[in-house]
Amino acid sequence: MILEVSEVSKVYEGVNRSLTVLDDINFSVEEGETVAIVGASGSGKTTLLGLCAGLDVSSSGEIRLVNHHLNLLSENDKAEVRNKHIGFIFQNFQLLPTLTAMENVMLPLELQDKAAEAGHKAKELLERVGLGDRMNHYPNQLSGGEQQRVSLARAFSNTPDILFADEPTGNLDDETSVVVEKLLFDLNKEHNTTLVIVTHDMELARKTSRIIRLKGGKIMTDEKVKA
Amino acid sequence: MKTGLLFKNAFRDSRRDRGKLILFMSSIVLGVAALVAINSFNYNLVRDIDRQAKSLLGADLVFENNKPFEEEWLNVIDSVPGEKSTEVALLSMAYLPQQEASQFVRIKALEGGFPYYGKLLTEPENFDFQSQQLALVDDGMLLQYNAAIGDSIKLGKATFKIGGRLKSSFGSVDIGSGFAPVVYIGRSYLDSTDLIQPGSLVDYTIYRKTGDDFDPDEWRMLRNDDFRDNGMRIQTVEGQKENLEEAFSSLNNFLNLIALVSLLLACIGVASSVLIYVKNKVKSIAIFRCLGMNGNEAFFIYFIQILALAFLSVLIGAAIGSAIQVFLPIVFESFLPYSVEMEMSWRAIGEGILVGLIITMLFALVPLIRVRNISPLRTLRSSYEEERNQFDRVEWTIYGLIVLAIFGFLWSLMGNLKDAAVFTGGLIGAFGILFGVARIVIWMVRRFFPRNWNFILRQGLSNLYRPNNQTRTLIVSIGLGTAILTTLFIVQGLILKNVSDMGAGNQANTILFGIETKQKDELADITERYGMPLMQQTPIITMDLYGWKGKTKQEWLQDTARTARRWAMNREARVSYSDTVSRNDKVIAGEYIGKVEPGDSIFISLGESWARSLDVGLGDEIVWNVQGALVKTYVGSLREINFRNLETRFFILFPEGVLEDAPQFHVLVTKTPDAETTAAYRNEVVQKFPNVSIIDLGSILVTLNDILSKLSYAIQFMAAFSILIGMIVLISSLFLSKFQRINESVLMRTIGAVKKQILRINIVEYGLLGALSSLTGIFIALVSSFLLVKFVFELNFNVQWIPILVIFVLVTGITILIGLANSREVVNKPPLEILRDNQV
Repeated sequence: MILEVSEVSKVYEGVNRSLTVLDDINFSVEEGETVAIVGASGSGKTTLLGLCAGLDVSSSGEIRLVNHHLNLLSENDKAEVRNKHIGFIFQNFQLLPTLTAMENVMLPLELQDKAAEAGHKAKELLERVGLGDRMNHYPNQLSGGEQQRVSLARAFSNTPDILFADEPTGNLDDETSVVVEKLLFDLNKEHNTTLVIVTHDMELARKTSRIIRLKGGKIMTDEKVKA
Repeated sequence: MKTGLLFKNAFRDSRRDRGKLILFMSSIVLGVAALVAINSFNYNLVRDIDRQAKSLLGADLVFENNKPFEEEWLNVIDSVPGEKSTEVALLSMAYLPQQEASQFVRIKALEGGFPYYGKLLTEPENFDFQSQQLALVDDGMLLQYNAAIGDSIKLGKATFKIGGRLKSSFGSVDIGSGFAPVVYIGRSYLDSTDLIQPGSLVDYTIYRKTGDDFDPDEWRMLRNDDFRDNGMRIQTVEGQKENLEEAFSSLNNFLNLIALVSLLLACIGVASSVLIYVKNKVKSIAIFRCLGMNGNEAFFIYFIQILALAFLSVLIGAAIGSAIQVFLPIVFESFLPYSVEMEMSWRAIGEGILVGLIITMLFALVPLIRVRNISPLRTLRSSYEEERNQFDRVEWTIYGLIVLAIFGFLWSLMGNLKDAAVFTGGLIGAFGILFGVARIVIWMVRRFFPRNWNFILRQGLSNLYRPNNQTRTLIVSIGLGTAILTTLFIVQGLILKNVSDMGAGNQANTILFGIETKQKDELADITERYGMPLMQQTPIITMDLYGWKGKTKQEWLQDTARTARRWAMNREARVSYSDTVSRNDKVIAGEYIGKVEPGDSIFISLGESWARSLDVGLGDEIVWNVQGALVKTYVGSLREINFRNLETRFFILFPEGVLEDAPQFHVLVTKTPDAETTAAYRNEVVQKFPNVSIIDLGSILVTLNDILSKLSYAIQFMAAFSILIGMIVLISSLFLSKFQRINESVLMRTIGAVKKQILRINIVEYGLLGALSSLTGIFIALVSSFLLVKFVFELNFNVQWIPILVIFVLVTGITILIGLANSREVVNKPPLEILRDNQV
C-alpha cells in the first residue's frame, strides 16, 4: 500500500461557524495503480490532494504515504518525503519563472544533492517530452502545452513513487491536452509510478484504473474502471 | 541541502528580478553614504586637530586674564623659560574717515613674536604692525567698506594708517568676525587710543614659547587651580586639542544622528523593498517547498540574495560617501578654525559598511523570515494564506536586535549610556506614535466608514484598511521625514523671531556702553536730538567679591565642603545702583529698598540664579571689594531677571546712596527708528566720543542670520539625505501598494472603469495618506521643537503656520504625484499586458 487514507476530515474554523470540506474519507492506493479523484467544484478534491501529498494538515484522521505517517511528520520531514517520493503536476504548471526549462527539471534532483545526475536526467526527460531544442528557454518563452511538458519532465525527474496531478490538462486546449495526457500515461507506465489525478474531466478519469467520486466532502463512489 | 546548491539557487532565482531590488539598494546606498561621509569628515577633522593644534594656539603656554596681571602672577609666569609676547584685546568702535563709516571691532594690541607656531596670513606677507603706528585690519571689513591699504582707521583718540589686510585669523571661527572684525595694532600704541577706561571690557593675554625640555602640561597641572581661583586661565596645546575635539564632537554627534535617522529611514525602505520582493516570490517559494525544500532552506535562498545585494549596496554607499566627504569641508568651511585636508578614512568606511550591513540585514530579516512559513499549498490554491502566529519568537528577537543595534550605535556615538537610552527611547517613541496613529486611522476609517458616499471616495478610503494596505509603512516613512524637516524649520524660525522680537514695538534696539560720567549728559542730548528716547541710563561699577557668610573668598575656595559654584565666585561683578528695580525684573523674595541713609545697613538685590549659584539667601552677608574699599552688604531681595530684550540687567543691584562716588561708567539704551538714523547717530557718537561703543540690534540680527543660515545650510545639506531617502522609501512603499492594487485596478479597467475614475481613486487614497502622514509628522515636530526651544534654547515658543502649511501641502502633493505616477502603467497599458508582466 503506497497511500492509505483513514477517517480523514478537514474542517475550516470560521468566526461564527465551521466549514467541513472533507468528512470521514477512507481509501487506499496500491503501488502502480492509477486513480482519478473526480467531483464538482467545491467537492473537496483539491483539498484531498493537498492532504495526501503532505501539503496541508488534516483536522482528524490519518494519512500514510510511502510508509510515512504524514500527521506525525514535521514540515521539514514532509518536505523530504515530497522530494524523495512524490512528483507533482499542476493545472497552472507552476514552473519557476527565473529558471530555464532545463534548470526547472534538474531542481528536484539537485535538492537531493544529486547535481551530477540531474543534468543528464533532465536532458533525457526533456528530449523524451519533445523539448530537446527548448531546454534553455524560460517558462514565459514557452507555450502552455510546452510548459506542461516541462512540468511533466520535472515530475518524473526524481523517479517518484507516486505522482499527484491536479487538473493537468485544465489549462490546455483539446489538441494539446491529448498530447500531454498521452505523455503522462506513457511516462507513468515507463517509470511504473503510482498516479493520482484530480480532475473533473471524466474522459481523462476513464483513462485511469479507478475513479473515486467526491460530493460535498464525502466519497460517493469508489469504482474500478472497466477496461 | 548543500551550501553550494543554496548559493546556486539564490543566484538563479535572482537573475531575472534583480531590477526589482534597485529601490532596496538605492536607499541603503544613500544611508551608508551619509554615514561614511560624516565619519570620514570627523576622523579627518580630529587628525588635523592633532596636526594643527600647536599652530592654532600659536604658543606652548597661554595665560588669560580680564584685568592686568598682578606682579605676583607675572613673576610666576616669568619663571617659565623661553620667549614671551603680550596681547591686550578689547571691543570698541572703529571709524573709517575716508569712508565715513563706523564699525564695532575687536582690537588686539600685540607685543612680541607671537605667533610662535603657524603665522598670521597677511597682505603684504609677514606684515609688521608693531614697530609703526599701523593697523592690520580684517580683510572682510575692508571689503565691506571698500577700504584699502593706505586708508586710515581711527581707534579711540588715535588714528592709524591701514598697513595690511588680515586674510586669516587662525584659531578663531569665521562666524563672529562679521560682528566684530579684528584689528591688530602694536601694544605700544594702545595707550594713545585712550580706550582703556574703568569698566572697559579688556582681555589680557601672555603667550610663552618654551623650550623642548620643558613640559607645559605638567607645569599647568601644578598651578592651574591657583590661577583659576584668581580668575585666570592657562591653556596648553594638549588642552586646546581636547577643547577642539570636544567642540567638534558635538557637531559630529549631531550630524551622526541625522545620518542615523537617514539610515533608519533607509531601513524602512529596505523592509518595504524586501517585502515587495518576497511577495513577488511567494509562488516560487511555494514551488520550492512543494518540490521538497524545507522552510529554512527557502529562507536562506532569499537571505543570500539580500545579503549579497546589501553588501554590494553598502560598498557603493561607502564609495559615494568617501566622495561626498570632499564637499563637507566646503559646507562647514565657516565653522572650522583651520583647513581640513580630506583623506580616505578606512576606519569610517569600515564602520559605515559594518553598521550599514548590520542594520540593513536586521530590517530585511523582518519580511524575510516570513519566507519560512510560506506553505507549499499555495501551488494548489493561489489565494491560500498562512495563519500567522500571534507570537513569532524569531520575529520578536529580530525586533529586539534592531533596538539593541540602534542603542549600540548611539552609545558608541555619545559615549554615554543614559543619553543613548534616552535617544533610543525617543526614536522608538516617534516610531510608536506614527504606528499608533496609523492603527487609529485604520480603525476609525473602518468604524465610521461613510457608506453613502460615492464609489470613488469609498474605494479610495477603504484602501486605507483593506488587507495588505500600506497605511502603516507610509505614515511612518513620510511622517518621520516630515517631522525632521518641520522641526528644522520651526526651530530655525523661532530663534530668529525671538531675536527680532527684541526690537519690536517699544523695545530697545540700540545700546551704548563705555560712557564716562562727564560724557553722559551730552550723549543724552545727542540722542534726544535724533528724536530717540532715553530708555535707560545706567551707571556700572566693577567690583570683586571679597567674602560672604562670614568667610573670605580665599577661605571658601579652600573649603572642600562648599556648595557655591566656581563661576559665581570668580565672576567680576558689574554692579548698578537704582532707587527702583528695572521694569523687566520681578522681585520674587524679600523687598527692594531703593535708598540707604549713611550709616544704615546696605540691603542689595541679587538675581535669583546667581544667588542660587553662590548659595546665598535673604539676610546673608556679602562683602565687596569696590576698587580697594571693602563694602559690607546684606541680601535684601531676590529678582527674576528677564533676558529677552536688549536692555541692561544686573545680577547685583545696589540702592542709591552707596556707590555714587565710586569710579564708574554708564550705559545708555535707546531705540532708533531705522537703519539710516542708526548709521548717522553711530557716526556722530563715534567721532565725538571715540571710547563709546555702540551695538545695534540690526547688526546682531544680520550676524545671527548669517550664523543661522550657515548652520541651516549645513543641516539642510545633511537633511537632504533624509529627504532623498524618504522619497525613495515613499516610492518603494507605493510600489508595494501598486503590487497589491494592480490586479484590482486591472480588473476594474477590464470591466470598464475609465482612466479618470482610477486616477481619482488613487488621488483620494494617496491624498489621505499624504495628509495624515504629514499631519502626524508636523505634530511630532511641534512637540520636539517645543521641547528643544523651551528647554535647550530657552526661548518663547510660538509657531509660524504658513511655512508649516507649505510643508503640509508639499508633502501631500508629492505623495499624490508619486501615487499617480505609480498607477500610470495601469491606466495607460492594455489590462492583459499588465497581467502578463506581473505574472509569476
